[in-house]
Amino acid sequence: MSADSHAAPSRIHWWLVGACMVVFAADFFYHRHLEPAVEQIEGIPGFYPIYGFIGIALLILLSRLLRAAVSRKDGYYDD
Amino acid sequence: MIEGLYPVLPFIVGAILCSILGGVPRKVIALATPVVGLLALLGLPDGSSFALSFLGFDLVLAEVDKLSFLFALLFHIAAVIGVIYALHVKSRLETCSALLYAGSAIGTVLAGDLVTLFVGWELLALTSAFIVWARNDDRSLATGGRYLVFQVLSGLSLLVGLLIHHQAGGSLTISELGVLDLASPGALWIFLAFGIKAGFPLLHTWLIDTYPAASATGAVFLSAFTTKTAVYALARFFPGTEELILIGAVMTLFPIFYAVIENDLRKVLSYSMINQIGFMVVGIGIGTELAVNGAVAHAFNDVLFKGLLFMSMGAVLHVTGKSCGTDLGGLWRKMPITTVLCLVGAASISAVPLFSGFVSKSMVMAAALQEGHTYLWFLLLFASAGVLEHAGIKIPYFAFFAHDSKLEAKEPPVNMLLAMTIGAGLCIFIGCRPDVLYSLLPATVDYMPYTTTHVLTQLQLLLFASLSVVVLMKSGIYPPELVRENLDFDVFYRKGGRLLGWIINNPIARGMTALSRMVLDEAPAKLLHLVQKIPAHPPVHWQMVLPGLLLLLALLAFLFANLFQ
Repeated sequence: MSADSHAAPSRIHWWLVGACMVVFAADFFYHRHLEPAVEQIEGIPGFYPIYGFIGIALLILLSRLLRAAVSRKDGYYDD
Repeated sequence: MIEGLYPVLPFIVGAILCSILGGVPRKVIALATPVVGLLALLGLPDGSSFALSFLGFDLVLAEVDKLSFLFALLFHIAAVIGVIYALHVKSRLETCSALLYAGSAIGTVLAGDLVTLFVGWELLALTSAFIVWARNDDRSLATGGRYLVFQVLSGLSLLVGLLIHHQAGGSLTISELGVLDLASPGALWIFLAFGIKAGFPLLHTWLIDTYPAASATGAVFLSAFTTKTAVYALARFFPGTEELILIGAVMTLFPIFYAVIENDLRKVLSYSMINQIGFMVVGIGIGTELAVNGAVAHAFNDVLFKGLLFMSMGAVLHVTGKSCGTDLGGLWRKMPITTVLCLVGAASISAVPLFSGFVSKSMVMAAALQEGHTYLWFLLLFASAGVLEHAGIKIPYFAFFAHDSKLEAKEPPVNMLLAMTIGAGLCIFIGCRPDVLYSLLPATVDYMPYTTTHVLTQLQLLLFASLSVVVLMKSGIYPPELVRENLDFDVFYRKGGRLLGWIINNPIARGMTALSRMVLDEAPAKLLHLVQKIPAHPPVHWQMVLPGLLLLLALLAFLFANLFQ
């Protein structure tokens, strides 16, 4: 991880936040065509945003566990 | 258009010429080869075939239908792009192997019978191994050997399956054969053969091992043909095989975790490749027209966008000599064109609207819902977000943005840029005009990718997934890039292989040495000694014991013969 990735959010990050707000709000104005099979879950306003956000968070956290389990020193196979 | 020419022939002739010629003539021939092949393919109408009698076999070299045509077309496009990308390469071995490799893949997907398919399958293995070796450093030489072991096992498995299938009275002609049932004789072996090449879980390790070890240009060729030939074979012989749904789902999921922690960006792309093949395998497993269409369309798109991503990372490797996240960063100022082209690939694989992945991956997901695989749909949606994380964000971010690595860099040679531009152009074209790709698919397509709901939900998923990555990076939770070896299942193969080597070298070899010393050196001497001790005229008791022994033996033989009648 580079030092500057911890730096204050830049303009592009604010654009991202703005875009997120717009597409989230769209759920309350636009009636989506739901798939009958997953209607009850998919129909919840904000389902896709929440699923995407939590999904990635889960992915990253589990990956840290994976790293703890499988990470070895470089050149592991050379010995 | 050239009529009546077997499309593989130009590749064989081209490779022979390239092995003799050098300099500009070789470049011209290398470039002309896939173009002539493409013209030959376009001259083959649907349903046409090439037959050949060879050693008493009646082989159907080519049998064209929509499925084989689509893959052959795709492979020709990939070959054109790959040859342009590698035009600066001086290695004669790599150029010739690449042409033969592309030709083998085309021959395999066009094959009209299982024998031709098998020959193509083996040539695919052999020619691609030479592409790995063409990099000619310690790592690629060792890796190429391990790679070939897997590929040969795949070929062997196919041969065994084919023989059992034929022995049981099964037809060798693909058009008569139709779809294989896993329970039918030999089918499991054939399935396993395809599975090794497609990178099924636990059989996938060769892919992760090999592709990052190949040269910048070699990896581009490798990424296009082998696994997609396997996808073709699965779509041809095993559509609707339910086991594929589970296998494919696992393939979409486990690589996305490895992709987060992997440092070598070409290794990240290799994991990403298994993830994408997972979507195709799921589609083939579901087996409906929409699902198989989606799988095949996604294979088409994957060759283009994964090729583009491999090309952009290859360009970085070519100019900086590095491909690890820890070494790279901040290259966008020095390589702006490469950066933009890489971002097109990243957007395509992440299924951003107007890019190619958007119009094909969703077909598989829609089919999953239609067939009532609700849990599967949730998993695939999660895997889709994972793709965005590693291929959409991580690859471009760590290579071109992040901290400035201060590496010496400039744009790659113009031929590399041209190849990437063609790839990127096709990704955008298919994303904007999906009907062109849809018209090539095996079944008639009744699917609309561009609905307001689909565009909106996809943007919601992708934007919030991106936001999540940003938040986790800013908060320091995102795992940093580290120079580490991440163990995958191949630790069992490689450590197991070494154990086997040790057993052969130590207990077995020593035992054999001791045995051979005993048999060859010591035993004759002892025997001689014994013979010398036997008196010339044996005493009486010898003569009495010998008949008694013979009688006993005869008695035992009689008893055994009766007992085991």
